[in-house]
Amino acid sequence: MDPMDAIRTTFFIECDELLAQLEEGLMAMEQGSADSETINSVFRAVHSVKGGGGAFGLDPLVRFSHVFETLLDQIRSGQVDPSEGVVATLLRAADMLADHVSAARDGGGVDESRSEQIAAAIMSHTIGGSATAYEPESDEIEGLDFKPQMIALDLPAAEPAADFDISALLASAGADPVADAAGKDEAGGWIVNFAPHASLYAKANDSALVLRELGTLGEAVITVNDEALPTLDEMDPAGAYLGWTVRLPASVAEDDIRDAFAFVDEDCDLEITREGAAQDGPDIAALLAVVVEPAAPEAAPVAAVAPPPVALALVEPEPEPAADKPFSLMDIAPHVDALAPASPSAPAQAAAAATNAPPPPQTIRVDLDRVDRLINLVGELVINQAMLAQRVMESGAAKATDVNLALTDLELLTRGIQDSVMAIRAQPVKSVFQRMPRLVREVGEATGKRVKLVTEGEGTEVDKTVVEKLSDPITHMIRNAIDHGLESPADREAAGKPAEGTVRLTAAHRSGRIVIEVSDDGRGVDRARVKAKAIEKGLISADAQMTDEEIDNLIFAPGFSTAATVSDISGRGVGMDVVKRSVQALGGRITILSTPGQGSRFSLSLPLTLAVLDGMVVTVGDQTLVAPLTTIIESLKPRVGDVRPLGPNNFVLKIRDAFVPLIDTGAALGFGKSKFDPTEGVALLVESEVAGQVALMVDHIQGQRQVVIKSLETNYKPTAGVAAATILGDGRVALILDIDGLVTAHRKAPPRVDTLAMTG
Amino acid sequence: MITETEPLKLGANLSLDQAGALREALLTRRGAPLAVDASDVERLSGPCFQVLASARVTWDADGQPFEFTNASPAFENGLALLGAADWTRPQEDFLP
Repeated sequence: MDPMDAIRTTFFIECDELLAQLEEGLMAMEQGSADSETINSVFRAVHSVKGGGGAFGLDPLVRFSHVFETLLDQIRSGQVDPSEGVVATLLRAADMLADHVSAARDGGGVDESRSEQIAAAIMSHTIGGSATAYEPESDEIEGLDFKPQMIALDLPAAEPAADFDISALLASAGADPVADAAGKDEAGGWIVNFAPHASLYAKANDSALVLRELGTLGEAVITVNDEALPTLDEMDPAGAYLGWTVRLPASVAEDDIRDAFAFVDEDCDLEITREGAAQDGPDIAALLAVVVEPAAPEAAPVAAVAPPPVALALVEPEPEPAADKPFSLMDIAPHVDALAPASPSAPAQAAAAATNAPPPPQTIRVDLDRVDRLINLVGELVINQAMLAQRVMESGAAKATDVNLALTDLELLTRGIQDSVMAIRAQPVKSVFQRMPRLVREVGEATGKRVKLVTEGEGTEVDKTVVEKLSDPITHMIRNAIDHGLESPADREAAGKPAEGTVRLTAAHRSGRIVIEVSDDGRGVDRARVKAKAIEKGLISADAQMTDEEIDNLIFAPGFSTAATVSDISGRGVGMDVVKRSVQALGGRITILSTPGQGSRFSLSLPLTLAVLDGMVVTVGDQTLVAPLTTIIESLKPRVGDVRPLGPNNFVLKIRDAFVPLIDTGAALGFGKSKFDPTEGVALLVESEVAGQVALMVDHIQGQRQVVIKSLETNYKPTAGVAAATILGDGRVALILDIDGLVTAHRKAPPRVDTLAMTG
Repeated sequence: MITETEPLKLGANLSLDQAGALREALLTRRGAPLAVDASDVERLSGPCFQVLASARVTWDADGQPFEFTNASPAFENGLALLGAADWTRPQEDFLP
């Protein structure tokens, strides 16, 4: 990839995170928590998007974010009160900013008139109004002749103290021996020389914020250099005369330091060096000898009063005495902060006070392909382990042999690796949940309903592939809840409810699955209307006796829609049908619980990953097949009288009061026995999308097992009736059944089969 | 302690765009001892800090006392971040 493209890609990834942070902050503000940290994070998000946008010349984005940022800055400084109206405007602005970002990323334009309209709304709240509109500034201010200053470091040297901790000094000098080995000259703490240009301030950046950012990286000792500062009458308030020197612990990553300057590095002089780098240190070997020898107490004062380059010398991986270092630098790394108290400088303590927030956990970005490769390999490992176990068993090794014990350990280890690898790809559902507030606002606006969205369990983690596929069903369900579930504000008040409806979106882990619920406090399912509609559409017979639950479930039937007019929002008659299908494609289930007048609740239950599957292992002929457990309702042994022929080739099975089609699995897949005797086998009652409940005939049930999914499509070719394959412990390939495909394959010309119509 | 003149009270938000106004306000007080009341300050930007730093230099050059009084925690924090935590101590202790 072109390096610029890579940076651009990273920028847009970060934009997504920033927009999420923005949305989160604004939601918190909407709920009344307008503390400075929230407002700051909102401001920073917009500011960073703007900064990056500027770097890539995304003018419309920069123009809009500038206006947005100006208002946020005034809120941050307390000039503008973040009232309900202002926050509502900010939320709309956040949506617009997201549109600008997508337009910049994917090409295409944004709705300019909407953008301008929202920008105008922002400016109406801004003190100074339209005067705050963005105008590209001239590059340099005339007459300003700023020269970068090299700053002489004049920090108080660490004073010798009786209880001085030599390990702390060592740690501060370089906590990472590997890094030190890589760069021999880099071992001390960081010295960052930073001198802003006037253009930095002109672009609405602030040296104070940059320094604050640095302060969050670690214990920072900041000194200001005011040598170039003129007296008041000679100074230009828009000029830049000051420079700063920031000392940071060696444990801080250089990239993190550079990140703090990400948006200002063109507008300042920046120099990042290791303390003592390129300076001649004292006799390294001699010093090392002093420190490394057991007479450490004596060495302490020496090290402590020595100038900074000593610190470098102590960990310089020079060959001689260092080879038998009696201590590990890694072990003492946690003491890294202990050096600071040795310095009497007040800024250090003040800076420490300002940076008491815990540092964010460190993360790396990894190409998804690499993770997938790893997951694939672990899948192989699981299969291999199962095969090995089976071989050992076949070889007749006694149960309590060492081999068997070792195998048990291996199994535990394999499972641990599998779980950990899956956890790499696990992501919180937050990324999906965060898109919903906007949806709720837009659908609420379009339908004229007042809606409050309450989310819970955003931190619930699930496999990335599942997260990506959650968005559509949740979107449909929320649209549906607002459009069909909630009443209009007037109706709600008439029913004695608050005018504002509530839609709850929750996620939780429940027995190895993730359960996502969308509930509303609306009117509930109008069962009379649903039933009438189903009769009209021919989905059920007019005299069908149905339970409330069965009626509620009719809304998942293909082609069912109760909306009198097809609206923009939902009611195209595909909504819940599509939801059910996409949920089933994920190996999940959807259920509805509705109470008239009190609302409805949709529950999605999904597997945590798509890489493994809970399956029922069955035998058909000489083949072993796996049926996804989620589709199986029950299994039974058909009795002679329950199987009735239907036409020359088909059978139906009587289960309680209903007849369901009976499918000979072997015949449908083309390897069945010539003679079909249903009473000899086992029937699996499964839920299919195309034909409701269907009974699949198999020969035997072997048992329930978790299997690793191998794509047949990628490795062979798409096969009707087969979803994927897996490898069993004996090394044989077993096919995983695609129930819908199987039903379709069975019925070449599918007549409508209505499992709900009662015949008995 | 400076008592002869009325202290100059700083606004709550010393943001980027306040530097010009702050400089003007300070210039009108030049030539006399000055106490700057920082009790209301909630935010200190780099440019405003620069103006205040220049004011200190200016007052020092004029041989007039200059001090900050009642510094708010936010102001103290801001100074610390900008490497000038010692400003709010009496000027005699300040080593340029």
